[in-house]
Amino acid sequence: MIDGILIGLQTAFTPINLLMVLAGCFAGTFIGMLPGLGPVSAIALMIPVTYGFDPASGLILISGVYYGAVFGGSTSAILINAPGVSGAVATAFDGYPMAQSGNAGKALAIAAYSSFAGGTIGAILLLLCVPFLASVSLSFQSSEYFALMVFGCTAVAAFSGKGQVLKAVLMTLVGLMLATVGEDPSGAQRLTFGNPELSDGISFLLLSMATFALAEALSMILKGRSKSNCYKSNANESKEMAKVSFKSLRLSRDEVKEIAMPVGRSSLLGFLVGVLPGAGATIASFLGYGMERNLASEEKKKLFGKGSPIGLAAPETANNAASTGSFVPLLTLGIPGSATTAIMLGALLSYGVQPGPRLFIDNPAVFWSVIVSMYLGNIVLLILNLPLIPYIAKILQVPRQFLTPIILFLSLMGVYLVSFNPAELSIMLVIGVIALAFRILDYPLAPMLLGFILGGMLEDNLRRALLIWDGSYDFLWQRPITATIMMVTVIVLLTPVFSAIFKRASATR
Amino acid sequence: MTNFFDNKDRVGASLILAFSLFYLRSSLSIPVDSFDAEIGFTSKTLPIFLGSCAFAISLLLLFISYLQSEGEAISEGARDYDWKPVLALILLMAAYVALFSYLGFVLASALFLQSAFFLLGERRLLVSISVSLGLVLFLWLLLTQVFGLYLDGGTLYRVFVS
Repeated sequence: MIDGILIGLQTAFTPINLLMVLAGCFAGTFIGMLPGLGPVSAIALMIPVTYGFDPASGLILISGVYYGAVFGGSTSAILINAPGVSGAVATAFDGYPMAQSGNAGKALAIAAYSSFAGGTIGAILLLLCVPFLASVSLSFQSSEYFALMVFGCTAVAAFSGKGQVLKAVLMTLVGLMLATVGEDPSGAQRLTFGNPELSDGISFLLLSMATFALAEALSMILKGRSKSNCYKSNANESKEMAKVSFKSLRLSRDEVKEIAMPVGRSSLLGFLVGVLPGAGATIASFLGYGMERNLASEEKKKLFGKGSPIGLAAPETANNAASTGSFVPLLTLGIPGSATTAIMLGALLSYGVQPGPRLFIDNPAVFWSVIVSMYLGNIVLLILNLPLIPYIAKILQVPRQFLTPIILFLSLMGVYLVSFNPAELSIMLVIGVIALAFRILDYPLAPMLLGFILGGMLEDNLRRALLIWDGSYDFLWQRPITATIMMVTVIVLLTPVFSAIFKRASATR
Repeated sequence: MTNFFDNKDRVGASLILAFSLFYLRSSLSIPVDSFDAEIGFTSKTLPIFLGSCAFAISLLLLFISYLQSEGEAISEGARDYDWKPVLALILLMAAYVALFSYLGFVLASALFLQSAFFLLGERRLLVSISVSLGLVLFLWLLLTQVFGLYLDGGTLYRVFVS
């Protein structure tokens, strides 16, 4: 492991990769700060930029964008009560009141230090967990991988909110169906309808750009008139920003002491929640906030929602630790646990890197440099981004009538600059419009992307398992690990059904 | 009888139902390799399975949407939506894509950005032209001169030059 860390340090500390961390953190902070655009959109917008880079550099940049976007989301939540990402909603509960009372600088500092602590503890846990889990999963065969892919797809049950399970499963199926377009594992063409543009299948970049960046930007304009939206409230944002007083970014010793224990607890909680496929940063931040509120003394409990430092530190820590934890299933098993890691998996595959247990044997430089760069990203955010926040936050004052068309343009260009084929832009536009329709209808799009990314690997492993087992499906119950994973999958799928029945039964009682 | 569009789940499920039917129909005509047929897993096995599952689940969702007395109507949110600029932007993007090969990167992109700024309410011509042209020229210079990429000048440019 020490050798691995050294390889990671060596790779991450090359001048080009340090530049990648810096650039990623800055770009991510800018994009994440824009209400409506979260880490997934930020990464989708940055993937085309990384094409042509070596995999380690590309991934380091993307990791930086991820952390930057999470940080940026918290910044807009604190300064103007407009969380850029859902994971930062709980941050706004106490961060915004703090900023309103003239302590914006302090609130941002608490958020940054808590994020840093959460990220650090998360990175240490990741460092300990990943090699162990990866070595265990080295004994996996195609049947286990197939079972894991199916399990990864069922993580959608957790992606979805109340009453959304069926819709999430349906969208995963749509993603899996889209993944079957083009050349199949045996080399045959299918579902292309004679269209040469589809012979290589639908590009992952095109789909992610269309469903996230393009549809997100259009939906920002569409909801312009509604109260909750940010597009036309840009003038209000500028006014809010003008009111913000940053004062000092320093914390007193008492304040540090006050948040130290909550930060420790929330880091552990966040990491564990992050490891669970589908749970992610949003759930972790709410759980962290709730846990600390329950543990606080009556006196401190009254401060929650009115600018409590603990109320701000807990969700921020849990949020960042969960972001780190979500890399565990990706790096060890090759299955993404969240929309963000799903899009990262897609990026890895497009670099020709197969995530999973063999990653740290076949590509140790990529594996370890990503882990090391996560930590570097946290340091960059703390040392460079925090002091610059008053200046970076000026982006919130840029008129939205300029920002939205630029996002649309960059999304289109991102796809064009990879394929140099204007026909792909037409496909992207069609998918973008369909994605917008599903957004309006409240159908989740992240499961679709997850299904699309896992689809190819799922079919490949099933085909291989069937070849080994002479066309018999007995491997599903005769191989213990496969059978266990399949059982867990069934339990995960049926849990929402049973919980609904249980709730209904207790309500009638 | 409730209005079909009064339930978002119903409309979405119907759309996916139609898609899965089309997908299933297309999957049935996928050619099969004889070797694959021996192991019982051909190019169309997974598509048929997926199409059938999607068909069944969308049908189930449709059924549930009729059973539920209350559902979120599209009209509830649609009243607050700003449809006009979105539709205009979609048309503008379609025009941009259609004219891209003809006008070339610089001209098509600058026109697209300028029109989009105008559509979203920016009326200061000097500012919007500076932003659109400035951004496009910066990108063009970066991509062609720094990264050495070739960006098509467009048919119009070639006609003009020749």
